[in-house]
Formats: sequence, C-alpha cells, structure tokens
Amino acid sequence: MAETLLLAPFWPLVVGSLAVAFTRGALQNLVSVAAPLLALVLVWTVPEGSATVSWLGMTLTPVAPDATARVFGTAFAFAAIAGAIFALDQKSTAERAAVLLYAAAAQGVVFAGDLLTLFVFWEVMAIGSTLVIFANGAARAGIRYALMHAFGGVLLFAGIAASMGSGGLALRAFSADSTASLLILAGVLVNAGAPPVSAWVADAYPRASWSGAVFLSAFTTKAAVAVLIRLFPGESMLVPIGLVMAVYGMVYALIENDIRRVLSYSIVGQVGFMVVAVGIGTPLALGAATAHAFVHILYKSLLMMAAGTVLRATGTARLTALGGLARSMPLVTAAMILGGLALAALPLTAGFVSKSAIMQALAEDKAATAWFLLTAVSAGSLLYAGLRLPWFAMLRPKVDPVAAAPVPVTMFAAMALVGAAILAIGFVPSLLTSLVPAIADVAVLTPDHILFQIMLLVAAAICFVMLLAILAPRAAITLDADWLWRVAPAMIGHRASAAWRAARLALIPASDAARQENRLLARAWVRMTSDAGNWRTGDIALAATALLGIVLLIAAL
Amino acid sequence: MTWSGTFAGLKGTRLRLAIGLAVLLIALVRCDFLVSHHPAFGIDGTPGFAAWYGIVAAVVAIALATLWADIARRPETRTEEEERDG
Repeated sequence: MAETLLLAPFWPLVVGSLAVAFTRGALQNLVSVAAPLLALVLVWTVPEGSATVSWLGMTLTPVAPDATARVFGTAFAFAAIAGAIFALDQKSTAERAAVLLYAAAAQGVVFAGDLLTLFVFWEVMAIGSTLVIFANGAARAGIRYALMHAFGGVLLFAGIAASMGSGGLALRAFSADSTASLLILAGVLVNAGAPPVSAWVADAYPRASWSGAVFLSAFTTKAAVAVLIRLFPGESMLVPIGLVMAVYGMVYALIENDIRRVLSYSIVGQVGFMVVAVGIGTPLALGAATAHAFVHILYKSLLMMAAGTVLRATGTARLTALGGLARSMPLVTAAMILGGLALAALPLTAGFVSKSAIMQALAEDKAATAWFLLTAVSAGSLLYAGLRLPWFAMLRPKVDPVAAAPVPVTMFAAMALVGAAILAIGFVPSLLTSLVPAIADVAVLTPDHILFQIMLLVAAAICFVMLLAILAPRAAITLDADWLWRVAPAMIGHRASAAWRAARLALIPASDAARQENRLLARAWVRMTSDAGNWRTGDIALAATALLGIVLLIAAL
Repeated sequence: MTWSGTFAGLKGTRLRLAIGLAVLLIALVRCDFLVSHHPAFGIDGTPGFAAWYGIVAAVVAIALATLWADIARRPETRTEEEERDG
C-alpha cells in the first residue's frame, strides 16, 4: 500500500514548511495556506489500509487511516488553514515554517500506525512547537517548554521500549497496570497538560507571537487526547485526572490577568472534559471526546485569534490594561463573545453539541460525580470565557482606553471562517455527527436540553453581575505547581548555602586571612547556586544526555 | 473582601441587569415545568434544577477562585511584566 504512504496528510505540510522557509512574499503566503488545504484533501482521500516499512528489523506502519484519524486530521488541517490565513501578515519566516512543521507532526501523530512512528512524530511536534515559541524571541520560555516535552518524551519512549516485549510496536489498548503502560500514560498526560505538570501550557503559550499561540492552542493537547483514545480507552484512572484538570483550569482561568494565560488554563480545563470521556471509554464517550476535541479546536482558535488581534492592535493582552475596546474593535469583540459562549456550550453553538455528547455519555454510564462536577464547571466556564474576558477586555466602559492600531483584514477573515464553522455546527449538529457517527443518537436540540443549558448559564450570569467586583482582574500572577521546580530549588539552594557558610565560619577556627578566603568562596558558591536558572549550553547538553541515560536504564530494566 | 465590597457597585445598570436576568431565570423555570425531562440521576430531572444548581456552581467557583487567589497570587515583578508583554 505505497499509495497510502505517499498520500499521507503530513507530506504537503512538511514540503510546505521547507518551501515557506525558502520563499518570500506572495509565494510564501500562497504556500502557507495551500499546504494545509492540500493536507485537508488528503485527510479524506488517503486510502484505507496500512502501509508498512521495514526499518532496523522492525516493521513500521507510518500511516494507518481510520475514522478517528480523519476527524482529528480534519480539525488539525482546518485549524492550520484558518491559522495560516490569520498569520498572513506575520513577518517571521521562522514562525511560518515552524507552524507547518508542527501541523505536519500533529497529522503524523493521529495517522501513525505503530508506537515508534507515533513517538517520532510526537517529538517532531515538540520541536515544531518549541520553534514557534523561539520564533517570538521567548528563549527562556522555549527552553522550559522543550525540557518539559523532553521529559514527557523520555517517559513515553521508556514506556514504548518496555512494552515491546509483550506486544511489539502495535498500537493497542493498554491498561495502566504495568510499569510500561504507566510510563506511556504519564508521557501522554504530560502533553495533555495533566496535573501536576499542567503549568507548562500557561507558561509557554502566552509567550508565542500574536499568531503563534493560535497554532499552539490547537495541536499538542488535542493530539494527546487522540493518543489517549487509541491507547487508554476506558482507563478508569483518567476520570479523576480529567476532573482535577477541569476544576484546576477553571479556577486559574477565573483569576488570571493575561487573556492568553486565561485561555491557556482554559485549554487544560476543557481537555479535562475529554480525558474524563476517554476514561469512561464507551463508544459514545470516545466519540464525545473526539467531537469535543474537534469543537474545542474551533472555539479555542477563535478565542486565541481574538486575543492575538487585541495583542497586536494594542501591544498588551492584560485585562487590567484593556477595556473600552468594543467601539474600536467591534468584530473582535463579537468573535471573543462567540468563542466564549461556544466554550460555555450555549445552545446553537458547536460547544453545545459536543458537551451534550459528553454529558450524555456520563449519564448513560451513571457516572454521577463526573456529571455533576462537569455540569458545575460548565457554569464556571461561562464566568471566565463568556463574560469575564469580553467584559473586562472589550465591553467595560473606560475613559481612556488603549489605542488600537489597525490590523489586516485577513485576520478578520480567519475569525469569520472559524466563527462560521462554530455556528454552522451549532445550528446543524449533523455536520459534526456525520463526522463522528458514535454521537449521532445524542439528543442535542431538544427542548429540555436547551432549557437546561440556558437556565444553567443565566444563573451563572446573574452571579457574574452580582459578584463582578470579586472577578475584577488584578495586575498579578498566580503561583502554580511549576513553582516547585522553577523557584523552590533555587530558594532551598540559596538558604542551604547560606546555612553552610554560617556553619563553616562558626566551626572552623582560622586566621583572618583564612576566614576571608572562606567568605569569598562561600559567596561565590551562593552566587553560583542562585544563578542555576541560567543554564549554559554545556549544562543543557549534559542534562539531555542524563535524560537519555535514564531512558536506557529504564528500558534495560 | 467585605460584604459591601463583594457587591461593590451593584446599582444602576448593573442592578437592573441582575434583576432582568433573575426575571428571565424565573420565566425559564416556569417553562421547565412544561417540558418532559429525561433524568439520569433523579434530581437532575426536577423542574428548575439547572437554575439553582447553576447559581450554586457559579458561587462555589468564584469562592474557590477567590480563596486560591488569596493563597497563591502575588504581585507581578517588572521583569515578569516585560517578559509577558514582550
């Protein structure tokens, strides 16, 4: 089946990435939009069947199209098309090439037919997304992001290596009852943004450019959901993990100040819905997870586009600095409201269709805790996405609002394209259910469901209006679990060094000259340990080597 | 935050909006008595369930967020500010 391999959807994106790197102007624009368009065509035309390749004594299946791959592939290709249109005025060739490489890898992950191919595309996806962050000059955030994904990659590879003995490289359903499968699960959950390593999402995505964050919000976490659907359907451990993600994402989104940090935490929360559904594992639940990933890519792209437009036009995305922009940016305001309401699952938006499917899957499985908790989080999501963001960023009256520079019409065109898709699915749910037949029997536009959701959202809106003062943004940041590895080691090291210095001075009787030497050495030690955050290239290489060594060790065990 | 601070500025347009939404919610609850429900857990099929549950959920969400903000929020330093906007 060489045809299957030749017509894989990632090829036009790989070629497009290279072409964009070596072209400029109109030709570069044409390639950046045409490549994902061609990928979308291939998502649906690549023939069924799997192409196998022999490599180092292993039989690999680089492309294995199935229904799940085509749905995720469609969402990824659509996001790449809309993102490319949105980014037509992006001057950074590095970013434009990187996003196509990133999109290619995302297609590769969902179409992969074996564990090794999946891992290779997984790592290319990490490289592509890191380059998107680097392209905006955010080197430190990029390194933190790369290290976190290297950590996830190490876990995944170690798990794959350890699992080869019991089933080879075949993609198969695992249950988290062995070291190998737990390592694979942990590696995938790192990319899904699961606790305790969720903070990388909100650390990295807001550091990308006004256009780069649109792509980042679409691929990595949803590719992880696709892999969970393939490898861990019905894994009960995922239900509590997803519930924690949903609540965690909502709480942080309610208190953050930067729009793109709010949206990043919201990604974690919404992926939590999908992870819960994968944990339920029935055909309806897996279909609902797939449908929600599809829809989430749409409304989160729209919200990131609106945030990116505000950032580009005003120079800031912080709610404390914004406000009063609705008059100067009415279309962006409309896009932000539509995206927020879709996230909150307002009837006649796409979010209502996919969330109805998830809730019905939970109801049929009698998963009461998950159902009541996620219903509550739906009400909470209206507070931060449907009301807090548009109110404080755009609608609230402000005497002296920040000046908004004009932005290219292509950015509005991209938002219109995504907004139309959200409304089209909302008004005609069969557009989505035809892609995901498993959710075809879900009652969506029925009077009781519509009434239920509108009551839930109106009730939440009343609370928003009443408690507006509490939800007002503050110029602050909120500590997250990454404090444990970003700040705590340096703090502990500094204090330990200071204690050690004091102890030395107290215990070692010596001449004044020796004491002076001790003091200088101790200060140099404290300075060295305090500045450990600034790693030299050699140290990073050493850390990477150590990680690879750990992989080998785990694999050997 | 004090009781008066919690509802700070709840007057004029905001107060009218809150009252309008409350009236809308009451109307929706009345409509909910007219539709047939398909409950999965019993209580979710009672008329008006989503209304009171939505209020409870939103209040709890705001309370959780406020509590966590009190514990974990700290002022943004100038370096962080520049890195964020840059």
